[in-house]
Amino acid sequence: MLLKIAWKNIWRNRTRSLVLIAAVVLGLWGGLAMVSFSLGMMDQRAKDQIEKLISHVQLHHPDYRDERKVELFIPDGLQVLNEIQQKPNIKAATGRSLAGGMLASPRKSIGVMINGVMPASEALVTQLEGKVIEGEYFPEDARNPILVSERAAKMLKIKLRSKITLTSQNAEGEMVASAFRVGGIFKTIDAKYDEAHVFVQATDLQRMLGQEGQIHEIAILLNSKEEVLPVQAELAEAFPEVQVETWKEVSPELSMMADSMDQVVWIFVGVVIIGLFFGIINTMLMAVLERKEETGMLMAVGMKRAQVFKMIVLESTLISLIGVPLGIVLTQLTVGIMGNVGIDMSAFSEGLAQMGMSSTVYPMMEPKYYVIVAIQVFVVAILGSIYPAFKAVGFKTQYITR
Amino acid sequence: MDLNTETNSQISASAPTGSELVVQTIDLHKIYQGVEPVHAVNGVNLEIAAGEFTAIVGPSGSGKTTLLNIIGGLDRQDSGDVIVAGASLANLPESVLTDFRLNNIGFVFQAYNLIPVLTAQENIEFTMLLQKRPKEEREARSTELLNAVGIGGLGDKRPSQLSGGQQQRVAVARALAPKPTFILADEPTANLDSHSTATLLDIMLELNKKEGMTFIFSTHDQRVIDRARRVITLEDGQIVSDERR
Repeated sequence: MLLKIAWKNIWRNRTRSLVLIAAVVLGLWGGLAMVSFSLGMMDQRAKDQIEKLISHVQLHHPDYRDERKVELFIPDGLQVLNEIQQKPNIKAATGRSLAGGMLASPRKSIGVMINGVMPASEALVTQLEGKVIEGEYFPEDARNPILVSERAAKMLKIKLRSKITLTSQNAEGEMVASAFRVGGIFKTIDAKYDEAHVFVQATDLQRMLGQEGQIHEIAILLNSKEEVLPVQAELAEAFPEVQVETWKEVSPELSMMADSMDQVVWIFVGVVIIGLFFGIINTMLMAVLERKEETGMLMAVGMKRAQVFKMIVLESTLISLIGVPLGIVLTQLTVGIMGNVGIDMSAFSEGLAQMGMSSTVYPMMEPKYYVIVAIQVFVVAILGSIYPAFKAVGFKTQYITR
Repeated sequence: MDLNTETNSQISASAPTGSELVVQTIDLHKIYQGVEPVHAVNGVNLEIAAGEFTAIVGPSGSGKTTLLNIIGGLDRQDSGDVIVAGASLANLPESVLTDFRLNNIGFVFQAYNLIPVLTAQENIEFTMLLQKRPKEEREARSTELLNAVGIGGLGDKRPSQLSGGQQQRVAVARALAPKPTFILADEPTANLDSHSTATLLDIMLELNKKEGMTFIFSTHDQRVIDRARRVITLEDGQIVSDERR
């Protein structure tokens, strides 16, 4: 009977109850939409970083990532690469020679990371080839071709086929330099990355450094992110003399960024939930106060205060039981549609590019977030009814005879 | 008519010797504190026996409603005692008092105060549900009571679909449903027209005669006073007359 009365009480003031249900639906939707937006953004960034350069798993000399010295190449790197490329669970793998250096045009110079890549296998592992917006991706007949980013080209005031000089330090600590000709200009969504990276052929860089046949990095692309840990374990066992790291270990700033983004989102969700909490208190309090006499009557004829309390909490619970599933359905629809169409954030593209993010965000959702946010909203709906319920049980039975 | 009227400034309204007492108040006092404290009930000694049909009358502010609230366990006295169906209400904890009201006292209010979202039959069943009576019993008794108060065909109507008189009949049926020891009615006819008042009084008198149900009213309504078999008059919180007919 309590349930029946609570249910019928909800529909006494249809408009007010619908507004409250709408608040629950929109609160849930708002929270989940933010989560899905954040997840989509971070997933894209991770995907972009993986496809752009990091790939899923990387191999280095055990000391290379700490010291970044050119002499710390992978022992028998090309052989290791060849063995890895033969493994059936590896989608693609490539080797890279790396060196820090200066890129100089006649007018200006900037510090860069020189990536000596193997063009054919690199194209299978990363999307570098597809990021070339002008010129060609390492034309076969070119001599010492280099890919520079659009941003770097602007900074150095160079263009396609401009001659530029790369300077670096070889294993003996001597300065070495080589002239390169701009064969292509690339552009990714990550402005900072673009400013700091150039690509040459691995053989050219090795020649410049005097390290023919030596590679510092093997980048491996897998079929999915889920295979990362098993493959890491397998390779670590197969090649104990090299360091095998996942994309998260190679780029800890990615997961740090995801964590901090996560925190911002949860703060936003918290604000939405707090707003919802006070909305529920306000509405339930109005509903309770206008039933002062009736509540007095219920207690006069024998309803216990605990039952009155339960009835008010039940009303709020029922409202959230209607609102929460509707909110989830609305979110699923939104994520389903926007996840395919994408949200155009081009108005903020400059800022997003600085953070290495795309200007189109494709929201996505993991089922656990539905559960977390739905429970939060549900709990808040119940908590929001506690003060009004206490107010109701404080009514005096004699209100009925005044 | 058997007139037994006392008109002292403060009298004890006693029940006939040897009769079974339903309500007894002993030197009951209730003061409302305020800028000027009001002595709403001032040393009332009252006895009401089973089967009585009693009207408590008096001008506004005489303490009728306060006295009824205390007898009904809706309010607490400042001093004195109330014994209802043999139990002193003075020290009963709130939850026990609620159960006591449910099982011993039927209430009929001036504004009917039915639960607007329930049908007439559900309103009648409500108190039985609080008593945890089985469904079959609830349905049978509510149907029986609907017929007893003359609205047998209106069980599925909501209060808003009923006239004032019909709503008050539902309220009487609701009060009777938990099989209380007596019924307290606060100005039950104040919002009713003459016809509805007469019908309601007929029903209550019938219940009083046939089932021996005890009724205690507070009222201003001369039509009720005329048909009451005992009239207790209050003035300034004191009983000034106790008339039996």
